[in-house]
Amino acid sequence: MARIVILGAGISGHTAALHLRRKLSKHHDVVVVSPNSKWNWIPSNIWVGVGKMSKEQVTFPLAPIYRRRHIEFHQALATEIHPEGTTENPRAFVSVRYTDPTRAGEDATLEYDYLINATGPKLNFQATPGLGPDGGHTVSVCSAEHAVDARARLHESIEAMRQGRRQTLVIGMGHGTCTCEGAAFEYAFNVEHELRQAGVRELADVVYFTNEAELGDFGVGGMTFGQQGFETTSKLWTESIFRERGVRAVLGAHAERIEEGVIHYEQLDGTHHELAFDFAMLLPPFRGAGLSVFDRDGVDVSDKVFLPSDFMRVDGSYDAKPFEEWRASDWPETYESPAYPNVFAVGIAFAPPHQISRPRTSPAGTVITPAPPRTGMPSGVMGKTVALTIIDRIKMGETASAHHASMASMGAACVASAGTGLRKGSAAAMTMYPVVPDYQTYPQSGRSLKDTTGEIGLAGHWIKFMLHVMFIYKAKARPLWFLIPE
Amino acid sequence: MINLNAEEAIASAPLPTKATLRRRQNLLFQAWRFVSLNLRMYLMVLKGNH
Ligand SMILES: Cc1cc2nc3c(=O)[nH]c(=O)nc-3n(C[C@H](O)[C@H](O)[C@H](O)COP(=O)(O)OP(=O)(O)OC[C@H]3O[C@@H](n4cnc5c(N)ncnc54)[C@H](O)[C@@H]3O)c2cc1C
Repeated sequence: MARIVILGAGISGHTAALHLRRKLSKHHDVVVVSPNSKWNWIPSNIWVGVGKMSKEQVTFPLAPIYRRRHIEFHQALATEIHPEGTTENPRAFVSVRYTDPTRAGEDATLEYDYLINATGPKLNFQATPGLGPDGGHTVSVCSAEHAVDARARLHESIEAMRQGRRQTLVIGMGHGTCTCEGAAFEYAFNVEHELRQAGVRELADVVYFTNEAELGDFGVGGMTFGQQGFETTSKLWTESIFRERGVRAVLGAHAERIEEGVIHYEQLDGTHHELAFDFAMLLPPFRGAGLSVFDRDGVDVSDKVFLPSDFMRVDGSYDAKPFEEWRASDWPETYESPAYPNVFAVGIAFAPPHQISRPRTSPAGTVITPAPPRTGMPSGVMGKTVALTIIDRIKMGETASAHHASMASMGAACVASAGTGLRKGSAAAMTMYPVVPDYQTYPQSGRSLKDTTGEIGLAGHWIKFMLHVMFIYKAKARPLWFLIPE
Repeated sequence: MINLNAEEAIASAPLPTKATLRRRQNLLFQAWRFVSLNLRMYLMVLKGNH
């Protein structure tokens, strides 16, 4: 009998849990630890943030699904990993602290044979003074609760415009090392769409504030598309959308601090500026969850397992090297911890070997470069891949080889909403293959020109909405859920 | 050399023509794009899961 503990019930952890449970007999335990009682389809939070969806439409309670599927659920926060157990008991375990209202604050330990760290990002609002909805001056759409707050603030701004007051709405990145530029882009264009629908567009200055050195970078170093016999870039394509919709942009920017109504920032050329705002949605940079690891004797060995960013080291190549020497093969394939082979990290929790975009710093040495995005599709694929490895090892023995899924041989489909509505909506639908450029295989642009595409239109919106319905169906483990790909 | 002047880059980007804008919202054309994009994304998934 094996016991698999999964930390985190987001896109990657929940996917891993469902696949493990489907393929393993009831003699084996699948255990999920997550501090939230609800699952959240995060990509649709941007629609909550403009008032087009309710919080209830993007979340659902996990406990009934886990009960139905015979998955043991602990509503708790994992705090420590003890991969060697203790001197008295060599069985590996994790320490957790309950957030479940019936046991809040209670500590417990959960033993495991395999551990999957799928704890996603810690939203590091503290990195920029004045950033974030809790005590700061900006809103966020990273969680459904944040998005509800963002909607209320956006509507206050719209109300001010209805009374004839001009407003500046700034949407983007709250730090030079943020990721998820795609999400900020989507929110900016959904807000712009909303302003037009509300009839107040001419009173609004919409500004996209980003750490990207060029528009269309999206944290993946931009894309080159083949289109009607020509090569075109995501840069040109994105600039065209900005021109069409009248959205301004601030590029290569690191928010240094935020005061009531003002962003103080440094740009890549070393200049310092201020940007006044009435409404600002700025994403935080991400860190790992901050789990500590102890050996058998109780000695803290966290730095053996985690990088200083708190993301977990896996089978990637973490040697520091210049951009020109980055290789597709640097990227992990099996997501196993080199320190403890029965411990894995998937989704945002694993440490990427380096950025994907070219690294840049200002003359003062401030890093202003997007961190590599680990979006929904790769996160789900990693969750499933690790689940398959564990299943094989349980069924065939410890020597069964691991399943592989590198972001350098995985494609991604990204649908960036630019406004909702079954007739009036639009979205930029992009596909790229592979996510991490591979200049050895595709010397021209690092990616397959045939499989890297982009187009804008109503169809993209329908797809985005369809993905919302499909992935919530899948996450609820409804009949034949496993036929829906990650 | 990077150009941080976004205003300049945006102002010189190509604008879609009226026909392109119409096509982006045309129900029939978009229904075809919906099918085609879904197929493309599905093939992408298959390629990633080899
Ligand atoms: C606003 C926004 C919009 C986005 N839009 C898109 C999109 O359109 N398309 C796309 O592909 N991707 C999108 N993404 C990215 C996508 O949400 C992530 O790729 C995905 O959620 C990553 O999955 P994950 O499992 O690694 O992390 P998450 O989904 O964040 O899950 C992490 C889980 O771990 C739990 N956890 C945290 N700490 C602990 C702990 N100590 N112990 C136990 N559990 C813990 C959390 O509560 C959560 O359940 C978006 C992201 C944001 C923020």
